[in-house]
Amino acid sequence: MSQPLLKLDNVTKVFLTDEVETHALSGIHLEIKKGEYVAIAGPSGCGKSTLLSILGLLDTPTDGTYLLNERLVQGLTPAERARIRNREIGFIFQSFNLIGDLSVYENVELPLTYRGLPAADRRARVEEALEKVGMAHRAKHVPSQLSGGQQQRVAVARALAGAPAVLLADEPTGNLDSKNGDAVMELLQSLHRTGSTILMVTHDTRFARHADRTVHLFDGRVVEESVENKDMT
Amino acid sequence: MLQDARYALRQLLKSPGFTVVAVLTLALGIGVNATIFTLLSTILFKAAPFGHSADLFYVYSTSAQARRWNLSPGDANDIHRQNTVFERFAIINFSSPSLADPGQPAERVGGMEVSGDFLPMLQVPPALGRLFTPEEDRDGGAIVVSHHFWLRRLGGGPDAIGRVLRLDGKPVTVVGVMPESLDDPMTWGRVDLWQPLGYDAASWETRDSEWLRTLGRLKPGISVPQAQAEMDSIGAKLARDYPKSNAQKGFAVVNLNTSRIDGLGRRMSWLVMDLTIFVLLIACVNLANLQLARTTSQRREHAIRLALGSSPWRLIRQLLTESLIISLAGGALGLLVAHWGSAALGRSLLIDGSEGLDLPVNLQVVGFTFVVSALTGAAFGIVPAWLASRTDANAALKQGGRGTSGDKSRHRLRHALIVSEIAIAVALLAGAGYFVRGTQRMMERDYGWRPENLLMGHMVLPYEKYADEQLRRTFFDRLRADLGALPGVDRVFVSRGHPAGSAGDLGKFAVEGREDPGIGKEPMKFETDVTPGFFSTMGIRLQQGRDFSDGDRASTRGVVIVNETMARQLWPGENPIGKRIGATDPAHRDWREVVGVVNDITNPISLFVPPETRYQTYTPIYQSDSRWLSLTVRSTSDPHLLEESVHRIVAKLDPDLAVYGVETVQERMAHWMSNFTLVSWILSGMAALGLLLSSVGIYGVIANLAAQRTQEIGIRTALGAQRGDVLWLIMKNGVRVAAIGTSVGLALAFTLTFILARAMPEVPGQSTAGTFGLSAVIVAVALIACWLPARRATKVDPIIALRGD
Ligand SMILES: Nc1ncnc2c1ncn2[C@@H]1O[C@H](COP(=O)(O)OP(=O)(O)O)[C@@H](O)[C@H]1O
Ligand SMILES: [Mg+2]
Repeated sequence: MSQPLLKLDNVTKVFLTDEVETHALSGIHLEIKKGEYVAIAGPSGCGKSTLLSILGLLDTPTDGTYLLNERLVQGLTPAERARIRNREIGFIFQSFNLIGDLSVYENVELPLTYRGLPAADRRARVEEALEKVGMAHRAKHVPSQLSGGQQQRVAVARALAGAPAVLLADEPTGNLDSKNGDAVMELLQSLHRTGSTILMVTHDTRFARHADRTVHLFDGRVVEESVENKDMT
Repeated sequence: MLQDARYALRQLLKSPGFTVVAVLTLALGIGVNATIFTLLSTILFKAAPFGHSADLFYVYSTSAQARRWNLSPGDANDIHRQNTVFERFAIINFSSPSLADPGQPAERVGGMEVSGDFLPMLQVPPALGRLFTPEEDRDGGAIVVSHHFWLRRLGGGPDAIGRVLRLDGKPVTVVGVMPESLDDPMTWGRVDLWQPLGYDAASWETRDSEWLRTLGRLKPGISVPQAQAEMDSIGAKLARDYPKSNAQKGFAVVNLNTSRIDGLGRRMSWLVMDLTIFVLLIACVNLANLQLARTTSQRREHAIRLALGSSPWRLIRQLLTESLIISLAGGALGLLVAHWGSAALGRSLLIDGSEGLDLPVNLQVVGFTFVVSALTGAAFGIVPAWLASRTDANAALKQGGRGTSGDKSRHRLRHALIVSEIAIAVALLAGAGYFVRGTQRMMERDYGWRPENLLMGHMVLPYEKYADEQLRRTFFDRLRADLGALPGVDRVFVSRGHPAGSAGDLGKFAVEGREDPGIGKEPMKFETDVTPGFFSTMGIRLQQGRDFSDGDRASTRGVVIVNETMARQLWPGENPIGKRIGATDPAHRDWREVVGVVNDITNPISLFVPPETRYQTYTPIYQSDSRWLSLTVRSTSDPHLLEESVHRIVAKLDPDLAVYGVETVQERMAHWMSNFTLVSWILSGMAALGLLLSSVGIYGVIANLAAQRTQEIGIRTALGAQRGDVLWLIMKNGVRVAAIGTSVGLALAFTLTFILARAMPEVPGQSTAGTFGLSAVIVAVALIACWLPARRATKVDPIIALRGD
């Protein structure tokens, strides 16, 4: 277990828009081990989402290397990247991103469908995931019939259902009131306790307390890593 | 209302892309409809350009063989004298006299020989000069010319009156010029001049031959049934008085205006109009879809307006005003399309053998376009407006209210609209394909003779100059010898009747040794008179017996060659050679002996009018008194090259004789088919336009729905959807809609082709496989229209899933 699950080495991301270069990330080194719960904190615009998108294979670094499960993931075709996203990564988005035309059950089932799992297998996994987030009783509802907190719990179930190597959450509480936000944080924590690897982006240090360690970003650079803020309970 | 209009204009200017596409779509849809309506209003609804033309009626003869036939001089004269229902009554003979000016080559012109009442009856005063005097009506020597003839041949000046021309070798004086309004090819084709009929008393006795037309103006207060009743009683009386010629004959009055176009032409025109309406329907569906997309994107705005207390009715009115502005703008542009379209159409149209018809965009057309535009605006605007007025303000205003049930019903409606669009397109393509394929099959059919490399022309031998058989014979022999000696000429013949035209003269006949079937029940045959060389030149095969030779003369035994159907049906199981047929008059049988049997042939006119009989006979031209002749040469290369020489050789033999209508037989065949070909082109154009509009419509809807799903596609891709998954996600709906639309369309198409087969039995039509083939084209086009936006959807960057919406 010495090798990290995710390993970024000297990763840089430069956006070019209208001949203006934005250095969203500069020389990032980051290692995340299996079973870790890491928070990425920093002010708005410091590059948190960019970092997450690279880790989640939604984007590629301009420079540097990224090893996922000891495998170099640069230079893969879009199809291979989609395959890895589907199997290894579970996304939880700030705006939930459930698909409005699909029921709760179908939303959770979606990544499993793309993986080509047989229906019975999918059913077992969807039910288990909905059970875990406490939304099994709403399986037939459509997202517009749910509250924000409920929608985010369904999104967590969708991320979980495929048993990914890592859960990537980008400000999962950003669109929620504090009560619902707390509930989602608790859910992540309990997932962590049962062995999930979680990487959560937040600009709210209050939530970062839940993590094993926090990586502080500022202006595209890691400025501080802290482990001492572990919430002792 | 004005406020609505102003606001609507502002809204439309805010989305110029939508407005331009919508107006152009409608300009095309309404434009083609206005164009076809222009054609219809001219050829179907326009009255003849005479005073009170609704009171003008033809009197035709009717019999078991013909519904509308010419009259014999005896019948025409009796109707003229005995009727009490017509205020004026004229007898007409269509002629094509040969016109020769000193120093100019003889020319064949279109003439009408008319009795005294004819020109006054039209109630159109001459533009120059006068009409005929009673003396001229009796003795001839004068002509009245048409406006275009006056311009073309007489210089278009007032000095035309009093000019003397040579007509069929006799001097005639121009006494009048009719106004331009009478240059109307729809009524009698192109008429160059009118001359007095001037028949003598003996001519009026003829009853066994029918070539005259009659026209009468009903007296005020006389109804059509009254006139018909009188014709019936005159018919009955003539049948009693002249049983030999009139036993089975009746007379029918037919209005001049309604008889201006034949039944097939009428049905073809309606077919074109109906299919054109399909194009407009497709345009309407497109617009409804565009409008739905727009009102969907304006949902928040409508919700705010409703929330602020606007009544739903007001919103409907507002949106309908927008639709109407679009459709009226489209209609205005459509008039421009109609202006060009009908000019082009009029130029290529062939009426009664002459080209060109004035198709003006008149007030009637403008009115039609306005009404169609308004209806179109209402048709495509009403549903989107109604749906918008039912926007759930609460749901629409809620943050992120995506995927509400209102959206679903809109999507369903948009899909339903594409289904109907595809269905209409399939039906349109099938209808057009039916006709186009049918026309092709008519042209490609085996005629039983070879039309390639033939050049033909016509001549009329003046009676006085060629009165005796010896003179005619000498002329024919020299003509054949001189033409045959030309380099490049393979064979030559002269004939009365020609396979490239009509099947010849229709006549009754008797079979030797058979019982007389009774008056009016005699068998009929088509007769063509030919010189030797006819069959070999035309490529008609002699199946039995012998060809004609120079030895078959007026002085020798009468001979005839029959076609195979006639031989088989008249003498089944017997040798037809040596059998004899003759005239129905027992006193003058004039028996002719069958010396040969040739294969059946088809001639172009029988493509449109089913022939009265399949029997066809050929007789030696020297054994009949034929003056209306065709001259045909088969060349070894391009027959056009011989045109000069043909004119030269005829002029050398007789300077007064004009060879007219010189063209290749293939040109003549194409000429016959030209209106069919034109309609084929129009329908192909309509089908292409319909296909284009519907594919644009499908593309628009699928692209718009895909664009609305961009965020969703990003999420799916982030979750691991592959390219193929996204392609299918977008195409799935398109494929389903195309499948349903095509099925409905095929049902429509087969109904339509069934109706067409009933309405136009003349056209052989389209095979079932062809209809399926055409719908496969539509499916392919629909799939491409779905695939383009789907392919674009696969390019959606999944990173948008990370960004809020
Ligand atoms: N696609 C892009 N094109 C150009 N600039 C971008 C793009 N995405 C992010 N950026 C810029 O990169 C920087 C980091 O953005 P982001 O990672 O979204 O910050 P955070 O999530 O920490 O708020 C910002 O300055 C942002 O404007
Ligand atoms: Mg961010």
